[in-house]
Amino acid sequence: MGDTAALEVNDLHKSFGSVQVLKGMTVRARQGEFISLVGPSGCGKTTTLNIVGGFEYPDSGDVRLNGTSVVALPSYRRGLGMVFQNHALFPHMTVLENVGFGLRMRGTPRADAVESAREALRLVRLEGFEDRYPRELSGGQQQRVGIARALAVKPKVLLMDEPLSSLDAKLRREMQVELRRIQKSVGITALYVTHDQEEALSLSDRVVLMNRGRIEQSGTPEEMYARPATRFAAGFIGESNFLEAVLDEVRGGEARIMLATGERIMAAAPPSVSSGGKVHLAVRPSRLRPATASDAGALTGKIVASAFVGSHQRLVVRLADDSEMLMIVEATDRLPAPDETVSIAAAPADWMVFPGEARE
Amino acid sequence: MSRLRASGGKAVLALPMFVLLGVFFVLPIAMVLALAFKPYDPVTLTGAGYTLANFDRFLGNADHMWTMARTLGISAAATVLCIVFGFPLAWHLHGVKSGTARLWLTLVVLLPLMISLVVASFSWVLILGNNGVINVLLMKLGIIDSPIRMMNTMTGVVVVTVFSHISYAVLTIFAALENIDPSLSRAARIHGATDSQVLWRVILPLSLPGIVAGASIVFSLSMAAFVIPFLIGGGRVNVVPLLIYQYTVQFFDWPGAATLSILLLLVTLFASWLLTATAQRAMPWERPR
Repeated sequence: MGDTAALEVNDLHKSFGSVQVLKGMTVRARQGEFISLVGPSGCGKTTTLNIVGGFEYPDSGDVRLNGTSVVALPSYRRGLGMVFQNHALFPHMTVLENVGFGLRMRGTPRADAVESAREALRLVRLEGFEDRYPRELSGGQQQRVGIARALAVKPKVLLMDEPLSSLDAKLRREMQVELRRIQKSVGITALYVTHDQEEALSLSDRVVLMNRGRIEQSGTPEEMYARPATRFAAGFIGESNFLEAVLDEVRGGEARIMLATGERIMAAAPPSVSSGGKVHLAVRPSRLRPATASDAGALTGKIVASAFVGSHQRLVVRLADDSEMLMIVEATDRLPAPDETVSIAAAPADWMVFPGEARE
Repeated sequence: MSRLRASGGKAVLALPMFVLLGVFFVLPIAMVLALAFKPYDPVTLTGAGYTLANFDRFLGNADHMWTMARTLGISAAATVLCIVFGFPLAWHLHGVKSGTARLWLTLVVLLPLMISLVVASFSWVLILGNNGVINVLLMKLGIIDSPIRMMNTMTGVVVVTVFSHISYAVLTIFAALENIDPSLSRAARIHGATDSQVLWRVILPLSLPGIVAGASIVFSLSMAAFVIPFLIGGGRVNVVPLLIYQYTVQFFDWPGAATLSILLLLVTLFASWLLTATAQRAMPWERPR
């Protein structure tokens, strides 16, 4: 493919009134790559999608498809397909008419449009529903029609705006698998917007975490989960426990960190924090475990809540300074009783240390 | 059980209106219907027994049938024009996002309904008359030499009917437009539809229910209009409501007036039914199956 990206979003800036929604947003997608924009509401992910789709115009910056700038083109001349949150099917058209709509608008002869529409419906496994109206379909079927409609125009990039958020949890998981299957089989470049980090992790080749109009971190789902770059990323992608602490001493690659409780633990040394500096300490609930004699440091607390969720157990441990830690352990026969005192620890590599003065 | 009680409660709430409609609307219409089958007697006004003679009298009268056709023509023209001019107005109102601008525009749209029809019709005399605003302006500009006659013509009646009733069309179409999911326009546009294609292929079909509702209201009101043809038509544009008036207060032929009323009602109902049925055929997606 050379150097040309299928989709290139370059340094987008956008303000609504006095509110700066995008402050230099840049994304590149290779042909066939599935990219998720994820972040809290108001982070600018939807605005980015709307600018790519041509529903809004940036104050500055560029959008390129296969190397050609489309930022000045109206939506209908960009050659895109889009799946909407509320499906946005045309209620006055049958399933077949909905799917063939884009082709008909582009002047494709009727017979060819029908043929392509049928093909798209086969792809989403909705043969036999051609003559139904959208209101006669279930939510999941409607969303399949929406996907078929977007794919029928053979778009350069497929845009998706929280397409699964209106479905119930079980159907959503099924559709995630289905969506990934379809995207892979067509080999289409996809830009996916969601506030659901789990969905982003399970679907994407690359996750772009946005916060306040900027990219907080981007990488493969595995990188994003294993090595959050900031405290925000650690909090947004996956579950994390946070503790305020002070860096005690750095020796070699390891740092001794003192918690507010006075207890000390060992962790990988963070860059750019000197001894005595404040740090945010984070740890995944699944990385906490009962302490053993070989641990370099442990936290002591009381169990205040426990819940059995089948394969494992969720425990809430209250430390001496009243901060609470969520801990996920393998289910055992014995449920720890409330008020039981426990000692917990994590491997030094599992503690994530972020500079304390960093923006939230 | 509770659902039964709830529906019973609703029925009680609806009762006053039922009584009101029954006593002051259904009953008088029934009486008019009965009157239409009474013979006319020049001395006692209403004769004894029942007859179909009144219907023979009007259905065989070419003059009166022309009046009926004229009434239909004026109403149909006014209805079409109300929709043709009302749709862009509603579309514009729908596109206005600022709250205050919407408020003022809505006020302007409602204005024809707020002004008494008599006052509005008289002001139209000032506009359409031989010495009215339009003619004076056109003559001053040298576009015409002698005034165009608009008062006392069908054209004048249609123009004022459109003005007086267009609010209903704008409001019903506006309501329909507001009901259309805005993401449908986006979906159409991004898959390749130009702005005019979005309008013709998506917006227009989906606003059909509002268009039909507006057309029905405007048509029914136009069929029954009395003040406008009376004041603007100036006796030269005869329509059925004027005819009914003449039969009632000039000829004292109440059975005749009643017959004309029933005929007008039937024609209006039939035309409205035709409109609705045609529209429903055009909207298969609204039909349950």
